[in-house]
Amino acid sequence: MKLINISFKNIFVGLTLTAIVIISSCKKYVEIPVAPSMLSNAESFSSDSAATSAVLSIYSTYNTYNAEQYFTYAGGLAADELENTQSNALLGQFSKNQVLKTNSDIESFLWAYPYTIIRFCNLSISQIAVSTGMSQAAKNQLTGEAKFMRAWTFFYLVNYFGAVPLSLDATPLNNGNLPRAATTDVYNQIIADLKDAQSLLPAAYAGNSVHRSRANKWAAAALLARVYLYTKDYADAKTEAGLVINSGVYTMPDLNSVFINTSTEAIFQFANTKGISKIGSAYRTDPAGSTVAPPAYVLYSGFTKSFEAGDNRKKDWVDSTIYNNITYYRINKYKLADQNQGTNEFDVVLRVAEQYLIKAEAEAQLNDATDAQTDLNVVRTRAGLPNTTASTQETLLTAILNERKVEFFGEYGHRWFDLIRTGQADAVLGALKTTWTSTATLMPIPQNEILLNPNLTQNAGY
Amino acid sequence: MQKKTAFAKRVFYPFFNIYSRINWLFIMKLSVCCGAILACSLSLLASSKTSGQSIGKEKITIQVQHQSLKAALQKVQDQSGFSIFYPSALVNAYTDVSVDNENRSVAETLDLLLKGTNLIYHQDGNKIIISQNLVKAKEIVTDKAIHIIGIVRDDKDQPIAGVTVQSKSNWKLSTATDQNGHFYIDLPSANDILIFRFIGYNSKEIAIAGQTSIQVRLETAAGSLDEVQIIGYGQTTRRDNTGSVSSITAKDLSKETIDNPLEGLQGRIAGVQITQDNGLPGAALRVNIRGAYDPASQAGFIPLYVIDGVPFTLFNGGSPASDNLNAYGTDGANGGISPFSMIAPEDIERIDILKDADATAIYGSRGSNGVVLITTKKGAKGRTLFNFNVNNGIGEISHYIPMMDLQQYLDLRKDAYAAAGETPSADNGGLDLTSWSQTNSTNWQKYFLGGTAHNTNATASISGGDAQNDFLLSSTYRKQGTVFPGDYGSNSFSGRLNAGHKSADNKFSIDASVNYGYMSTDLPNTDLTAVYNLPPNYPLYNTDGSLNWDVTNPLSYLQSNTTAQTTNLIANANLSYNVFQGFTLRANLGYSNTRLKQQQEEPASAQNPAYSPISSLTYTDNDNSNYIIEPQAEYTRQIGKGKLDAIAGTTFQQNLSSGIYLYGTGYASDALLGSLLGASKVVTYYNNYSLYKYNAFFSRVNYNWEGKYIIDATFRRDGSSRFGENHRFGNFGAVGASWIFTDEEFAKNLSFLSFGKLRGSYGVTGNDQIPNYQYFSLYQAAGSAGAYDGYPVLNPSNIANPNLSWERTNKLDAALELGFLHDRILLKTDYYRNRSSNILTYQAVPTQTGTSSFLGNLDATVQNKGFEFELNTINITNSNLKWTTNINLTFNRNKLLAFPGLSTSYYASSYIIGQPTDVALLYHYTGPDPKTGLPTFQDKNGDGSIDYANDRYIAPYGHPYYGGITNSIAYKSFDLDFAFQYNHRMGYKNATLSYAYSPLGSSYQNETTAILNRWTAPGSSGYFPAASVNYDPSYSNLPSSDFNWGDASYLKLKTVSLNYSLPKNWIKSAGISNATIYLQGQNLYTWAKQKYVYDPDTTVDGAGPAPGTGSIIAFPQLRTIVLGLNCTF
Repeated sequence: MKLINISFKNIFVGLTLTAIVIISSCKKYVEIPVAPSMLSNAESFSSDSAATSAVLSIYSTYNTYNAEQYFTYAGGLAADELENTQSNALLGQFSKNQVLKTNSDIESFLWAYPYTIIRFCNLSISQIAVSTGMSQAAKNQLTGEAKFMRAWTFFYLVNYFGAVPLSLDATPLNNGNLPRAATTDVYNQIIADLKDAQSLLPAAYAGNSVHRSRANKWAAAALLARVYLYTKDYADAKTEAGLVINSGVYTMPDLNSVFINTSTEAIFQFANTKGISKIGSAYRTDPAGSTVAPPAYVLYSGFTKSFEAGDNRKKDWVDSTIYNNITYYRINKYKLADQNQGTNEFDVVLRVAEQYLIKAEAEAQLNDATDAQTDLNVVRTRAGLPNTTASTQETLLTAILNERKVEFFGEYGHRWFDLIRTGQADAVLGALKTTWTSTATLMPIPQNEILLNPNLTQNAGY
Repeated sequence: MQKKTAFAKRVFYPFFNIYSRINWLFIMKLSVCCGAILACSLSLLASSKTSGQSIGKEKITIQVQHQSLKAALQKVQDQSGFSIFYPSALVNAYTDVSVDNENRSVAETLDLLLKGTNLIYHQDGNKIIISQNLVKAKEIVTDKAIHIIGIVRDDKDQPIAGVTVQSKSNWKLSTATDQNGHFYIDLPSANDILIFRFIGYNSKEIAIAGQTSIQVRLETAAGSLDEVQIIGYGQTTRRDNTGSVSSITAKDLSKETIDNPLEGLQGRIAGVQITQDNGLPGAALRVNIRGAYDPASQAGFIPLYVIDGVPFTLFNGGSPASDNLNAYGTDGANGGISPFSMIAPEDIERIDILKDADATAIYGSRGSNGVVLITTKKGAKGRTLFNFNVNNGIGEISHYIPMMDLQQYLDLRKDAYAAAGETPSADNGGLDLTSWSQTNSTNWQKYFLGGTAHNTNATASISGGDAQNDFLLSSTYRKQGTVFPGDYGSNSFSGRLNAGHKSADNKFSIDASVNYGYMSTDLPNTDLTAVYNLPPNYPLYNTDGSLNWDVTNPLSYLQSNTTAQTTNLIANANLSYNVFQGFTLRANLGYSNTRLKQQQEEPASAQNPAYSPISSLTYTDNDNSNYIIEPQAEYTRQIGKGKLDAIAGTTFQQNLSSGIYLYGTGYASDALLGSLLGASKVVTYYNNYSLYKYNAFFSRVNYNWEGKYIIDATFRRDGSSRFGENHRFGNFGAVGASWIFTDEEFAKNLSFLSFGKLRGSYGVTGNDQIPNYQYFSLYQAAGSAGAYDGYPVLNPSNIANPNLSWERTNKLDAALELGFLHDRILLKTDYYRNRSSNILTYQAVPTQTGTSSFLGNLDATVQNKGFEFELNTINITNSNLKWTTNINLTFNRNKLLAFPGLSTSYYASSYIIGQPTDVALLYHYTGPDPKTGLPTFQDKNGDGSIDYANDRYIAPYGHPYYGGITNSIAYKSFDLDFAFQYNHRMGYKNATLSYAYSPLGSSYQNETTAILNRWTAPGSSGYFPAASVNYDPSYSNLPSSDFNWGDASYLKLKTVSLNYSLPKNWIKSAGISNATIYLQGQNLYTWAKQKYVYDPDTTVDGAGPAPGTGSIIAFPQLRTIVLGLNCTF
């Protein structure tokens, strides 16, 4: 017993002294590995599959932040397209075209979250470039997707705010004091990114084989067509739209099959985990009936008058609900309000109908009335309407503008941007809204951002 | 007047002085024959049973007039019950002694009797031994150099190691006792006096008078100044401490009916503010030491908790920082779950709270929020003791929110419709006026909260020990009910084994403990206090018997419940080995593991069917394990007239927390909701993993010069895994000093002042309570909820800040401690000033960077300064009655000293330099518009509009203070304790209104009776705005106005405890040595300025500007009354 005691003591003394001596090694001790659910930046891009997961954060974050939905709501409310039924003060500012520079929806959804996505894109692009573990094919694919998403995001920033800072540095804080870049510079960056994406991306969709939830070559071309149209480069717009239409990948299905996750018309969709479009569920409340409040967003009063008689889109894409004796027109493009009703709807971001109308508008601008009519009629025919009667450039452009209104309502701010880029915002919205001012075509730069970055300037009228 | 003086004389008789007058020492010279005989008889007597009575405390009344000493001693023996042994020859020599008829302690009486004799006495158990005063007898001794050997023992005959033995005439001559209590010393003079000093014992001076062999017995210090106080890596006494430490002991805790030991600190410790989230079983508490909570900092304000040397701060890297066990789990009605709900208060011996730099700097980067040291009970040497303590009681809500009755409610609603010019109907939200009963009313608070909670608590323990070993085995069972309808509540069980062993040569020792706790709770998901504002005529059921969902039906709360099972294991061992005289190696080894499993069921039937609800089960399982290894070396040595104590060591600590949060839906039947297997879809929301590693080198040097001048210096070099390579290690330290000026010659004449100490300290501590991995960039797996179209996703998780570093707090403390009237009055006054800089916070950056903020160190300085007072008095003490009072009072002021770039920062609208960081900027409410009844506000800048930037003013902050008063009165066999807790502050006057945004009466919501005082018609003098169902923009300013701001102070009668000790002769036959019956009441009554809250003392985390100032309606701490029996065999 005594012996054991002594040897134990000796061991103890030895251990204690040793421990005190090994203080020099404590630097190592406090170096910890990352959590099992985490990877360092370099590890995240050390293999094709890890890098794919990292790049997918760009898509999924859009959905979790609800940012892409506000691209739809802000423009829809600001134009003659949507109304908010919940007397939300912040959204009311959009409807009245009197958005305050302190509006937190602007700050979060239209400014901060898009820039967060841009940060993710920048990080991916820079990490892929230096990655040694990835295949060239994956590098091309993922760089193309990141560039496409960066371009898509800058497209909304430049259209909502005009000149915006071009945050391209992969070290986020380096972008903190950038001033606003000229609109043309932003568009040049968008075009450059989309051209890169177009050449890097394959025609086939990556990921889920039946869904079109990731950008491919044609998504880049489709967005490029839109950007060329917006920048009045009609020849290129026509070319790019033509590439998409003639790719053989896309068709014009029945009106009730456009907004599902297997839509043959879709060029690019945001997937969501529930299989319910977030935008779609904001347009619906169920069960229908007078005791249930209307959905958050309904069509602007009088919007349904824009449909020509016999337009199936009014029948298939619009319905109504009566609450407190008021009739609300609901957007019925997406059919599902909750998972009890099904789980097969993704947000449709780009679809081929737009490419026909881009091509038609570009052709009209290029004085190619016949081709313009042909492309316009593709969309009209699907809606059950007869061929267009417009034949001059002017009537065609008017017809196309209205066709875009009744085709794309409730989708990603098309109507708002159309009114602005065609210079008709003052005439159309000025007639509808007493609170309209012509400087309302651009949203205010959030006040807090100007406080934090004095290099930023405010838009006129704010 | 005369009477008063006499009373004061009796009452304020210097109690402690008794001790100094009694010669407790057992002095003996072995060469003297009779002494040797006495020693033998003593050693025989010492083994007999001790009664536990003290001759200093036991009171007798005898009258002796010119009688023999022998007769007088006989009287003392008869009255006191002590057996008196004396050498007859010596005692018979004194034949004429007198003592007047007054009540005195036995010791006092003996003092008087033996005055002028050369006899001394000492107590040994229930014996009193009279002996010859050999020192006096040998007054004249030949003066020559002398070699002395001796032994120092404690009052239980155990040798004491490390006792300082010093010559009084030449302080350079000193030594210390070895592990067996032995010492030897060479003195130049045989007439010298030796001084014996040791922590926790009364110092002794012994005249050598030629003796060469001395046995010394040191008495455990009973006065609060000399009781042991636990500090970081050591112990000291209140007398010698250079730092600011406040303590409570098992005795204080035993008076309170609590399930969480931290609750027992509420109102008892100066400088410490403790708030409970709610009064439901397991609810979290937030402990704020000296204003450590600062809204400007994102770092946590959780103190460092240490239980028997093992850190128990279970912070798992979440943000905001929290040590709640369910920080990554789910919440039932009780919200956050405190880890201390797993620690039985019955197991705790004492809690010491370290506050200033001197006390906390040895904990380095973890010390800035203060340190709470918890010491558990240990077995004592002696007879094996069996103790059980059982109590049973009830709890109820002591205060309900005064709400309007049905008619008053209906009037409010009718006014609201009238003001808007509308007629109530089903379509415009007027069901309460059109469809519901106009006569049947329900008191919802009574309906859902009016029940009685039944509580049972039982603790049993066995303890014992001998010279080499001690052990304590204890076990506690606790059952707590709730006041909710239904069988909700918690059951907990804990077991503890503490054991100690010392080797035969006393060189090696080990103290080890193992504690295991289990708690299961079953509570609704929602705190039912939410029902207070239901309309009184709301029908729970439709006419067809189905649930009415016009408003959220409160019966649904009783269908969704959260069950939780917590287990907790804490094991630790403290080893020490005395390598050679004065040098000891130690090691603290500790491990803790806490696990919480929760199941939260949400059946579809408990949700409004209009929204096609689905049934779900949330399942969480969180685990936190922690180990610590702390090898240390301690060196003690006499240097000059003082004692040097140096300690150095290193810490290796790891905390690993992991958890999983699963959410199952798609149940075929609600009966399957208890299992995830019943779900067709399970989503992993979190699979949390957080690793924290910590390493440090620490040291302390303490130098104590004759117990008069003490200096203390600590240093710690810390490494924390939360920081990047450049900033991983940091240095912290402090110096403290104290001067006991009453030991100086000049103070000796100040007879009223028995103790006076000045102390001060300055140093720096740190705070690293931030999320892990913030210093480098990562991608984090998004889990199944974040997958993209079936593919896994990795999300970028943060903006890396490689320069991240500690928040630093510079702490200054200056204190004056005074004892008056022989320490019957002890006053401790601390001034402190803590300045936090390098503040860890989320720094705002333009979002064009892709983020709005990142975690960094802000170059701002926040100051907390204040005064703390602790006053302990012995008001009355005599043989039948002892009354003591403890008062503590704290003033704390927070102030933002500097904040470069404040105007362009995130916080531009929240903070003002020179103001507290919880400053409230409010509009000034000027009452309802006389014509319209709409709220109006003062237009400060007179520009015609009320705007956020210009028209708010700094809301009066008042002079907040808080504290408590505890009284203990012992009268014969009765002990009465009662404690008050108070808090003075400005805040919300009506917690139900603090977030008022919509007009009064605009929805199905009852209001408090305060709202009866509202504008009703033009010319009305009401204070509150008019009722209306129409929203008006003027209401938007109401919550940020002072309409609801004012004095929100409260005083709470926290504890009343009445104990009755059963007479010894009753229980003796049953073999019981001690039996107490007690009646305890907790949270008995609250006097609050703010009546519109259940309990001003409970508040939800984050609900208020600072702990204890919240404004959310939370479940109150229950008024609890228990009856109990405590027996020791």
